[in-house]
Amino acid sequence: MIAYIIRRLLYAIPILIGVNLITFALFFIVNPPDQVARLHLGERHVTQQAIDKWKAQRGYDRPLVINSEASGLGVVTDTIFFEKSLRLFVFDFGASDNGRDISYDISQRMWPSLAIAIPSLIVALVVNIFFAMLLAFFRGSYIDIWGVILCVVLMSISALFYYIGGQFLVGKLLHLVPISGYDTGLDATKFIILPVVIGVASGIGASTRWYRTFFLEEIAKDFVRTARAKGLSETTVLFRHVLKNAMIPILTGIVVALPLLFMGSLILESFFGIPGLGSYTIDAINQQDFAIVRAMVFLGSVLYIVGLILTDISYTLVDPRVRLS
Amino acid sequence: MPWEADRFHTQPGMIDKNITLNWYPIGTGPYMLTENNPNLRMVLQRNPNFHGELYPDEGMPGDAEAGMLDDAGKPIPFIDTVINSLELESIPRWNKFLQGYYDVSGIGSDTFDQAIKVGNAGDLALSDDMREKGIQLSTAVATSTYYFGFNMLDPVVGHPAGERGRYLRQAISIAVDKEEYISIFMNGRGIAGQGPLPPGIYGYEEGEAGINPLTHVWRDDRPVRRPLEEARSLMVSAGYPDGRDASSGEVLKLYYDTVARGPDSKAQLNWWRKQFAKLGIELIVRPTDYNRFQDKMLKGTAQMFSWGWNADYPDPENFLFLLYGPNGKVEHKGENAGNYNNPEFDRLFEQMKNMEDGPERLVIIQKIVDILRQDAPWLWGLHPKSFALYHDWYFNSKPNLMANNTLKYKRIDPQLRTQKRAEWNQPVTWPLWLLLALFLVSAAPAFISYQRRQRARPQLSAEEEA
Repeated sequence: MIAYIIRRLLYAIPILIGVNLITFALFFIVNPPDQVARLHLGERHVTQQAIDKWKAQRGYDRPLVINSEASGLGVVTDTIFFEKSLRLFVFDFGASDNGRDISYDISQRMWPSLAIAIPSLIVALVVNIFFAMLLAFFRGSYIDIWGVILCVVLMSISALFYYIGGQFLVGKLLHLVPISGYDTGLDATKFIILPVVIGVASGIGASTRWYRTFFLEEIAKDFVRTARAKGLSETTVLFRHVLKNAMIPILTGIVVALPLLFMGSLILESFFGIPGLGSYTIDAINQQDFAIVRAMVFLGSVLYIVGLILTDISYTLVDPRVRLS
Repeated sequence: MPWEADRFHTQPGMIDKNITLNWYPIGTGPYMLTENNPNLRMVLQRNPNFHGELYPDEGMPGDAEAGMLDDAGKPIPFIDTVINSLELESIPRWNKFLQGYYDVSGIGSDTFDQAIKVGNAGDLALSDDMREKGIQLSTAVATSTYYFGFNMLDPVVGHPAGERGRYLRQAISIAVDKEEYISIFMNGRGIAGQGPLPPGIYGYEEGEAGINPLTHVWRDDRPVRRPLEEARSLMVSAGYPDGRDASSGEVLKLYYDTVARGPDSKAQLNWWRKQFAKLGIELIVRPTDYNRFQDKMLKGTAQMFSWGWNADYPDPENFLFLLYGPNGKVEHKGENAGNYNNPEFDRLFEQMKNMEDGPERLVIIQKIVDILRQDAPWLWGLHPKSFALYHDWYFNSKPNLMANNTLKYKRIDPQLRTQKRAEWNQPVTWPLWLLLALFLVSAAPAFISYQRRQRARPQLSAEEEA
């Protein structure tokens, strides 16, 4: 398995270079360094001299990808792409175009994102499995039919509606928790409750239907029939046999998303005023801060690759028939 | 700022630890920035070493009656701690203002109808809901101008077209109904421009004397846009009767470069097309991102465009220099985005720009404005009106859009604020209990069904179950 993991990690290198190259190309096709400098310097009374100085201070005065004036390796290395991309591979994100240390900012902004994402994930998992099991237990009955209809209704509603409606109902009309905001330490709890509850509620419909399918698939299998034939109660069959086997696709689906949790949710964080990583990339795009965009895209790619590797590993842990080679 | 502060912040390693002057600013004002987290909040606290200042004891006419001078002679600032919170979305921001968690709020277009009612005469006032909460309104016209510019290098609408181009620009100036635009897209929050200068800037004239005679007449105590027939007549003079080139018979097509894109801008762009269609002109909109737009402006490849300017300082020079020839964007990379070039304007501008305000300067400004109105290098656009709401525990609020240091004059009544917040935000818990009861009631049949199923199967011992 170790050889497999090493091989997967080596595969990741060209993928990350490709991601970097595409990000670089897309960013600088839309935003040439001169325009980026103009935006950062303010649009008024910006001289070419000021633009040149800004670019030189941040290393944007070099050619983009190929330096035809350099010789030897310098043709490739003395370029913006090489200079800005190489350090990413040792997770040195450098400074943003505003001069802030990106690693420090990420380390500060990941915690509010995690404070929302982790409780949401855990509560959602428990609630969704509970409802999916309930529907599976009453499969074919009116509870199942109406439950599925309700799920379809819930999943058809836009997440924005949940956010705005939840804030209006729970925060504004009932005054149970603050509408939005964030604080540090335990004071954050009152601000986290509403986004977590709304985050879970907005996902119930889709996830319950999805998990219900897994449970029903397992219920139809021979080993469940055998368990029933033994005279086991339906509860025992569901919890001891069906749940255990249905958890394989559920867990692997979660494992792939785990590393991305700390990247945060853009819209949810925006609506609830959570100073997490969700808005970090979007703010950087709006400010045309390529250093942050590059760092966040790279980080997202790394985490996604890690998530996929973890998924493969988790398969071997939960299903002994699977071997990585 | 003392030089030691600069030297301290430029020491090696300080930037690596994010200790920079722009993050930890140094000053001598009434407040210190004690928490700087722009992604969450910025906290200002009273500076104990502030040199001291007293609240002014004289003001503008009406200030004393409005209670603005009640604190005259008292030491400022009045507020110990000021918390500026970041709210990215307008809906939670508005709701928290209504709950009393914010002292001041603007009015978004989606909450305008909730906050403001429009009277029969088109006058704007606070809605009954707002008044019941003790919320107050203050309005001010911003020292800004949003204009629609012609690229004067363009052969159809610019200088090369000579008189034809001037007549064409004048005709469009009459046809584009900015009053309608303000009413439809800005809830009436703005005034149509009559020239390059916004209200509050020396040289701006109120009333009949201030109207642009080319586009408006003074009737019933207000400016009224000239009839469309006059614009059509100017189109004939320009050689485009009914919007067609008199020599070729082809429909005149004009190009509008704008950063307005997407579904949100569709209505506005359609409105622009309709304004030009009144003259038979086909307006072709070329939406673009801001970088491309700037690039076009720098190269002078746009034909018509929208842009704006906020005053850097309250002087007419700061607006008129936007049309000064040597500031032309294409040739000199300056702020004259339309590349307008009129030697007479330039001469008068140079004469006016360093003069003290006074009758002599005013005469020159009037001459300049007259030249510009005749040349019509811009449609004079609009000056936005800002609306601010504040609670009745917030005092000494007087809009001044040119000043950024008015916080020290503000005063609040914290007891009243606490009392109203508590009164407005009593938790309501009965719906939670109702929800729980509904859940239990709806779960009962499921539980009964479960019990029935359990009883229906053969019973196994615990050992057999395992």
